[in-house]
Amino acid sequence: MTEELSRRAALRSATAVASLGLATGLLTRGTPAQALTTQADLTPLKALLTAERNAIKTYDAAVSVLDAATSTDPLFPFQGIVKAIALHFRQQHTEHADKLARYIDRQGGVDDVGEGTAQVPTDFVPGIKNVIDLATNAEKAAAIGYTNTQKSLVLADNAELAAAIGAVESQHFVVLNLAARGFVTPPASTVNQPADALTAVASQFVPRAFAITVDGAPGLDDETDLPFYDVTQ
Amino acid sequence: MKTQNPSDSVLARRRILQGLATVTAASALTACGLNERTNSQNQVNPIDRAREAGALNTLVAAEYVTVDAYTQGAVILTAARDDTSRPQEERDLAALALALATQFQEDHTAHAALLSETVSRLGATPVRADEVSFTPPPNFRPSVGNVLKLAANEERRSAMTFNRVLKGIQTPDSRFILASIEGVDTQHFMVLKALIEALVDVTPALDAAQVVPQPFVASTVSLGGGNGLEEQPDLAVNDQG
Repeated sequence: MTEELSRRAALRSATAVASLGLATGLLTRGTPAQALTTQADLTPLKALLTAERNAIKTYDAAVSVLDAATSTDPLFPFQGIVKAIALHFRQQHTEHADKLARYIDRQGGVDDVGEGTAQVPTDFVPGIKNVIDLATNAEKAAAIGYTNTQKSLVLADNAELAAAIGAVESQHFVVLNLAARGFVTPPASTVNQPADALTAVASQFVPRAFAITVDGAPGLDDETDLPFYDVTQ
Repeated sequence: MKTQNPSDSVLARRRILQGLATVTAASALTACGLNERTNSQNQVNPIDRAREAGALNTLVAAEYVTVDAYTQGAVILTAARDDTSRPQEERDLAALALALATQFQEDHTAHAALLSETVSRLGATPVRADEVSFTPPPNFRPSVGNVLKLAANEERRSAMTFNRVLKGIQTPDSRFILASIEGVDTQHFMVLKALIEALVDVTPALDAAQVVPQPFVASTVSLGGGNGLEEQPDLAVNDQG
């Protein structure tokens, strides 16, 4: 078989090989040599839970700063939408924490990581722009952290959950980074609007708390395709 | 976009996606069992290595299909940008969309390269870019907006596929690579969604190369890939306003 034919054969059979292999894998699991205890994942899962609880507390602190902002803040017209998005992201972190705690419990662990602590640098200066920058930094670290955790997780379900959450932190980062760098501004319709009037708008940024549906929590697979045959827009 | 008869295609996009569906379904089945992995790549048995190589090779093909989709989309966007009969606002949107599409395509090219190298490391022969192509959906209508929408749909689908395949992968490094790619695909999706749904107003400061600033979420350099978000310095939080 020539090299090209070999590649073509590999390409054509990629699906079949993968399917067969995946199915065969069922027969190769659970041998004593491979059967790793589920306890192995508790440490990384608890580390992720700690990070989520810290993120929630950090957003609490950020919302307090936003509430205290005054009209002298250059971004004051955007206070409402920034707060609405912060609350939306905070809620998604809460859902992440709840899911992680549930997984820990199922695997025989105990949720003993505490309520978390706001991660605010000592040189932080209260202001709307600094809140956006703080959240951008935090979400970037979270996205990297979840991705790196793949190297230490053992169980497939845990790896799936970590990926589904990490990809959401990644979306949080990109939204915040766009604003932090001044690449975008919220639409004019949101200017000078209170946060509670902008909840629906904010929920469109990162629409799901998980990248795919995990353990009954909806993911991006719950979103409908955008109509690409629409010629009106 | 170029028109292509699915029956002429060596490996049409639809077939790839169908293949991925099979892979991910099987992956889910596996995950129902005791799906633990061994702790190092060397300890993964030959059957699992072959299985993993097959799954990753399907993702290589999917990445090349996406690269081709962006190439075809760029033809539409370039034409719109250069069409002097269009209002300037439309031409500006086309230029922005083209700049982003070019950047996102570069990311997917980087993803394909790393996945391809990973397949080789597992002892298999990776799919080549010239062996696959993108076939637009039959009812696709070429326009700037529709190119963006199609791209958003594909990025969302891609991210979900990576997440599902990841679950059935045994090797930690491979899982890490897939997660690092998935996060970038979701960034692409979110940016496209924000533009399509006018969730934001774009400013003149926008630098397309910095919108999704790195091709991977976490650095994959040590595995033969590219930079991650670690390269992005933290933003200062002590601005005096």
